[in-house]
Amino acid sequence: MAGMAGTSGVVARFREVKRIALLSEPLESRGTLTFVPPDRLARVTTEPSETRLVIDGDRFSFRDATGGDAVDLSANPIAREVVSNFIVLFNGDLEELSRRYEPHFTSGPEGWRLELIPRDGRLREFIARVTLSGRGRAIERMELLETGGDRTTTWFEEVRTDVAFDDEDLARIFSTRDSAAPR
Amino acid sequence: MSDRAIRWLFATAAVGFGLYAVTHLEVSTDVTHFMPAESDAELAVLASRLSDSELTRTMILTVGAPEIGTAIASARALADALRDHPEVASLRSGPDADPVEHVYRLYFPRRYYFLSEDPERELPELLSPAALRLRAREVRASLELPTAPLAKRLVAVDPVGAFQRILSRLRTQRPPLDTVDGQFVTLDHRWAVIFLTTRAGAFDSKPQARLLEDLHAAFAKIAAVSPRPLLLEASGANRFAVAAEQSIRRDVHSIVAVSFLGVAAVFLLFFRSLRFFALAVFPSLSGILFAAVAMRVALGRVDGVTLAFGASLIGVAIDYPIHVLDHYRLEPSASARAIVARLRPSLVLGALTTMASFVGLALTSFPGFREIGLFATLGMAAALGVTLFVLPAFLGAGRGRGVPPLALRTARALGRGLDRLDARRRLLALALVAGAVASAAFLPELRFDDDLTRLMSLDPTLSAEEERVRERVAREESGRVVFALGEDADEAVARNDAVAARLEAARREGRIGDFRSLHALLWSRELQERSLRAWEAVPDKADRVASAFAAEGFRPEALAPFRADLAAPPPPPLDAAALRDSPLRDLVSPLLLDLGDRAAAVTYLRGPTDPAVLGEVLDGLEHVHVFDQRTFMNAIYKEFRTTTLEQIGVGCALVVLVLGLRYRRWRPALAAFLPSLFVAGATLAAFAAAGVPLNLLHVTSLVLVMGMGVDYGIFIVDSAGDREHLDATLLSLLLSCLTTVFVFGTLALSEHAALRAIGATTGIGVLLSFLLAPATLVLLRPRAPAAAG
Repeated sequence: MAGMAGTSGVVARFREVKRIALLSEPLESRGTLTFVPPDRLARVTTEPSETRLVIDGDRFSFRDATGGDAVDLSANPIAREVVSNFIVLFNGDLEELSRRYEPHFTSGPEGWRLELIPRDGRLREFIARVTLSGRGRAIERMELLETGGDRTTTWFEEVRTDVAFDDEDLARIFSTRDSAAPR
Repeated sequence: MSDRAIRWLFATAAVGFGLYAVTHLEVSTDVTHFMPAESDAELAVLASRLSDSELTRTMILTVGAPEIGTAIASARALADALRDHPEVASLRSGPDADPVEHVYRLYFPRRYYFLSEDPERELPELLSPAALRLRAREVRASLELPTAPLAKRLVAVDPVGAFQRILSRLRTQRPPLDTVDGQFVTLDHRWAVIFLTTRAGAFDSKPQARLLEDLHAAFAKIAAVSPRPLLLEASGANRFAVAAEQSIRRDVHSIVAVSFLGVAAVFLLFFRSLRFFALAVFPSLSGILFAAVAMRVALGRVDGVTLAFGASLIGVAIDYPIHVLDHYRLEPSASARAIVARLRPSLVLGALTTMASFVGLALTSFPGFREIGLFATLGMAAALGVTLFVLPAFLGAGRGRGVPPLALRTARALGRGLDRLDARRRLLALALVAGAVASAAFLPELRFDDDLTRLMSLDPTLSAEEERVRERVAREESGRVVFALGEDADEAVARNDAVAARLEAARREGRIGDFRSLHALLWSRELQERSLRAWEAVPDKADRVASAFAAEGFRPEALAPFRADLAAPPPPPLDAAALRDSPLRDLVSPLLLDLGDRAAAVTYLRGPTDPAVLGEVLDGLEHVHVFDQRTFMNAIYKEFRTTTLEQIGVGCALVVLVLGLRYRRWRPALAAFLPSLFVAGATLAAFAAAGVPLNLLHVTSLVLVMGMGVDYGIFIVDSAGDREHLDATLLSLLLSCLTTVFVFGTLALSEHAALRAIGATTGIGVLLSFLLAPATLVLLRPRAPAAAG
């Protein structure tokens, strides 16, 4: 984690599988994740459809393939909690991580594993556990287990750390095209 | 009765009246008293409720810093410092802790009551296979969002999204702000925002001044220890009220000083006594006190507007003691009682003509005007009574008193001047005709300005700050709303359904801006039941929904809770009483007003919306009013002004009648009256020539000026046959004129348009009254040649 804290930027491809009790088949998506310290993250899916989740400081917005208005997620406490975890994790902010979760960290020659149990009552209503694993400075896998048994597993590939972005890159990656807030 | 007994009796009565006034007088202002028509009165009640609503009592505080973290921390510190302030009713710096939970409890069981506003048309479409398939696809996509853990729980019971529709409507009620760490921030993330609602009304300036002082002191402390520079910008009607009061107070302090020094100088120069100043003022003050107490006893209350306007009109009565005092000083051989006995006919006639001019007020259709007329008439009668019966007791016999030399010289000089004019009557008549023609030529140029805002002299710095904050937070204006009225809350809610439907259609067409309506929270029972009936009328909806969702990959058993819930009986529809009893009561209270025997559902409009367009949009809806506070108040104000002008005409006719009855000949009657008419014309012409548009306060001040003008005419007519008496009368007029100019005319120096209007009219009018008083001579028969002196 300490290694991740000093990164200038991270870009990774990801594959995510959601196993949800409501659905007959798991939902699978692929895309790219970009993190720029301290608090900017863009998660763009390319399959099965194009979606764009942008976190810029305290503002979160989501836009789907229909190209409609961006949906503001900032006011939704659950969305805030789930999304801000990404920031905390990628920032390598151990102190904040320990405030939110009971962390259980193990490491060995095959890599590291961090298991996080939410401390907050509201979050615990929905999330049972978050497990991260990886090698060196990079996260390879993240699994989110919900209290209802639904499970989301994300595999990170082609992880590049210490990526430098210029202003044009940043504007393109974190553009939400319009205000993220509703009326 | 001895003078001593009269003094004691008067002092006892004054103390008694004073004590009664202090303990019983509660001055209230009810604008409905100044409404002529029933419908306007109804709107006025609403306006009055609105002016003291949560919206006008809420300040928006915005704290800015170079970066939002500092702004948020500082806003939190400010909120903490103010939260327990005795003048703070509530303070919101972020979304309610758990609004969704409250909304869920109240609305989720009733979600089908609120499914569609046009259920017979919309629900068959909503439950068509294609629409349900699209809905299922959207739900599946939403499972990829970070909000999925919450959404999944709802989907199983509410796959059609009935509750989500309710949440979307409620979201339109939120201020357009972001939230960072539980703190409201502006959309550009430059300002942290706090909503502060005060206990006292926005125009209750004393508690508001205390709060604003403490607010700025608290912020100064926070800014002093902040590592980064901070800026506080606020909006709120209370800021203007406090600033206006402080500014008027400063203004009035300096004007009162000038006024007092001027009047004191007049009394010292001409009477060599300041005691005479007190004696000149106390009949008018007694009149105001008596009238206030009499109104309280007769009507059970005293209106603030009645008190203010009535008291100004009673100011005319200062002429009477001045007339008595002047004669008392110039005639050392006569006792005060003898002087009063001689002047009594003139004083009584002066007072009667003034009261007659007030009768015009009593003939209007405005209850408030009738009260002003009654108040001023009672006050004038009391002031006259005190002048005639009490004032001599304070003066006594006064034997051996000397004649102040300046008073004597001035009286004689004025007398000689009048003699010269008397000798040139034709020239004087010609000058008067020329003056009248010139006045008439300018009168068509006269313009009226009935825009109240121009009287308010709003501080431009505060206005600019208000504008910036409102733009940042884009809150709705309290001054432009739509009322849907009903006999009770349910009827108002039903009428509001139609209002919301029309407004929403117009908003979609871009004809009006956004709005905040009760409709987001509550529909009529009838509409709710229609929505539920249309939902229940679809026989195979559970199968349709299951089929559409299965086609999008949902397990068939996933929607079992939905099927089970359909079988359960629905709760009763939501009504106003249940909503007011719920934790959402704070949301509903500014949107549903209880007016005693009626209720009003309120819609607040955001951004610029043309009232005329609104009128078109809502045309034909019964008991629905578009209310624009500024337009409404200006209309009232115009009615006030035109009514006052009309009553001047009625008052003039009555004054001529009283004068005719007294003198029994047309010459002296017209001679006493005409100068005041010339004065009124010349004063109006002066404003027209200067390009100054007239407002209500100019017109009201003209009533006062004309009252004084008639008194001047009467005094001259009644003393024209006695040279010594006439000299003293001319000095009385000069002193009365100077006193009035110093008391009222100095208001022309004010920074405030309202005070300036009173000051300018009274100042110009009373000076002209004095200068045109010799016009009386033109209509009187030539006097006998004056004795040398």
